[in-house]
Amino acid sequence: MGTLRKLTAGIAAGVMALSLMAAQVSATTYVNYNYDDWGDPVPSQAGYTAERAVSGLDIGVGNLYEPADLFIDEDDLLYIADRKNNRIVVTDLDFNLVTIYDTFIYKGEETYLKEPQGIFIDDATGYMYICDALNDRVIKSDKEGNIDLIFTKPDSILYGAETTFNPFKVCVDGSGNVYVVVKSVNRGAVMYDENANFLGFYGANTVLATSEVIANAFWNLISTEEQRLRTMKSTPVSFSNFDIDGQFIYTVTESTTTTDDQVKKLNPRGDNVLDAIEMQGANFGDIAPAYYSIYTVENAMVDIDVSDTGTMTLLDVNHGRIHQFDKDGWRLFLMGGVGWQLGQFQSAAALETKYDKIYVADVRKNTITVFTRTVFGELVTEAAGKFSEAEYNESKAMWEEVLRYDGNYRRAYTGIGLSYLFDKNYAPAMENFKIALNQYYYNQAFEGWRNIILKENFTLIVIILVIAAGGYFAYRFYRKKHPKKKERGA
Amino acid sequence: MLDYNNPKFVGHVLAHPFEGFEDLRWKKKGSIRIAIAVVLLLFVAMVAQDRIYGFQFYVSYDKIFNIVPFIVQSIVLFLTWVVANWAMCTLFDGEGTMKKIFIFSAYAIIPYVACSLIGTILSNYFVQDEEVFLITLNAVGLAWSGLLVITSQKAVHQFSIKKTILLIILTLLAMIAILFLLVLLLTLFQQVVIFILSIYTEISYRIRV
Repeated sequence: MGTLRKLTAGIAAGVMALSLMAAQVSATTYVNYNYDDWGDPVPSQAGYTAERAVSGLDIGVGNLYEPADLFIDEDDLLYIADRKNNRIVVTDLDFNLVTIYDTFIYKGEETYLKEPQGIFIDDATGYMYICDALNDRVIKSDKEGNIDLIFTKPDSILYGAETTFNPFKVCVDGSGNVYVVVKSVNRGAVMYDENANFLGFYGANTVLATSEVIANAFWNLISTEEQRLRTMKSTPVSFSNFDIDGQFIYTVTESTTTTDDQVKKLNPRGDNVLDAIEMQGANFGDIAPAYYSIYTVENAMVDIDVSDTGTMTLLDVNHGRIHQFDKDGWRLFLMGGVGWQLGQFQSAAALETKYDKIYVADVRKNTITVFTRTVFGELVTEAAGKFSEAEYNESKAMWEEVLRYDGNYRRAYTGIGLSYLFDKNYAPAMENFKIALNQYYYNQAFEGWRNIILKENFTLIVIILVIAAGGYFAYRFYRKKHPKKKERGA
Repeated sequence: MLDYNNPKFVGHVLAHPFEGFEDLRWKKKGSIRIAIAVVLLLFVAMVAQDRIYGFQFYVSYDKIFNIVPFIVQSIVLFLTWVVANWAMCTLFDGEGTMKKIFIFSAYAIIPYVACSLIGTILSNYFVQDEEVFLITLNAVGLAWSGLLVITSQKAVHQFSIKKTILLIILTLLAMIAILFLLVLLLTLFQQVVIFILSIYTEISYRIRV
């Protein structure tokens, strides 16, 4: 009896331990997946888990009301543009309140924010730039709240007198140029110099040549002026948000009608450099909706954050999903979903990354959700970093560890294959590239493998060829002397 | 002259695109067994091209492998060609019988089948820079077979070249019509089967109650 009881207790303890472990493993409220090489979703490990959702009450400033933008400066201070409360809340990364900005001093007079939509801190100068949306201005203020400059609607023919100015997002580059996303402008970001002089537009999206656009161009050729006024105009969709990383500006476009300019990485000339690594026009969001658009909504990217290592983190408002890519355009992780639970979003508006955390503001849940990298996420990020620096041998052991967690993680196979390739160990390299469906590297490994085979067996191949040729000629000689009976009669 | 056995005649036909089929018709040396073997090899070549083509040139979709499309693309398509050709040639006073058309057409596609099989094997030993050899090989096989199809049609029906080309075009149109009708028939039969099944289900429920 005693043994039976012990046994039962043991089993019960085991089951409990297992269920606890299971709870730890699948601690997310959404399904973790990644995409395989065919673009089909496959189950994957969580790269990040939602740690907590912070409300305004947790910070101690009353409820947040539609937090529209986030920014983390180099002193690790988190700036929250609390839109409907007309204030900027500043906390540290543990959400201890540091200060609140709602009143600013301009030329000795007090002025107030009205629905701030965007916030940016220029780490080089320490000034903060705030898109004061309903006041139609962008203010540049120091950390004490003294306004240094005000950017208003450009007084230029280029901008147009009828176009309204409703600043949405702002960023500043290394040379002090200020870029402002204005919702009513579709020719790119409005660009100012450091003295608030209007310079022009930057990084406009292009009109995708769809069949509809081409047909319209044709009808415009033959229609009258009056008819032309009534047809739909083809205009590029303006991008909705951006982030800056050194000399590159990354833009995202929220529009669901085009995927061509979904994510762009612009150099100072305004050229999309993602073109060079063949990522232009690639689908950065969920892949499946591109094919099953009847059943699901399209992707709508509302924010992008670029880390110091070039990792791009994108926020898709329609699916409430966060997509992370490394600087070469390899997909790292996906997370999030639509819902009210922790880690899900109703209307995600902005995200920021710092160290191993992702901060996401939701304008309907009125919270900031914090995601923390898991052990798996840490491993992949580290391996990916080594991979990007072409340190393939160092990353090999890491990728093998990654595969122990998630055998579906396709990039690991390319990583392992490359380390074999650089060791001139061609056969296993080919095997791994084949699993990774990487034709380009497979071809290189195969070429090396073939050269080795040819070199090693050169004498054998020559001997076989000589024997074959000799045998053939000998046979022909013999047949000439002794023709077959059947053919002799012909 | 030309006192070859059946397999040897295949070589003669292939090497003499213009006279070979006329000789074949005259000597009556076409073999239905060889013809069937060629059609089966066409099927094999198509499957091989999808399965074992060099990975550096072609990535096959490994998640699902369905044999039916390959059967349709090779065997069914070839049979449709034979039937359509036979049906059309009767309107044009062609001399070919169904069996002859089958044999002659099968002989005509031998270069294509051979080149595609050889290309599939060679693709495992070439790198991407050498793909031009495979493309050339494939093009040669295709052109050679194209020529043989025209001359074989000409020989089997004893047509002028103009009439032959017209017949080939009409045969292609007839193939489309036949395939369309086949699909239609299949769908209608499906409907009938579903109808009968639902009646059966309905009655079986009634009886139980």
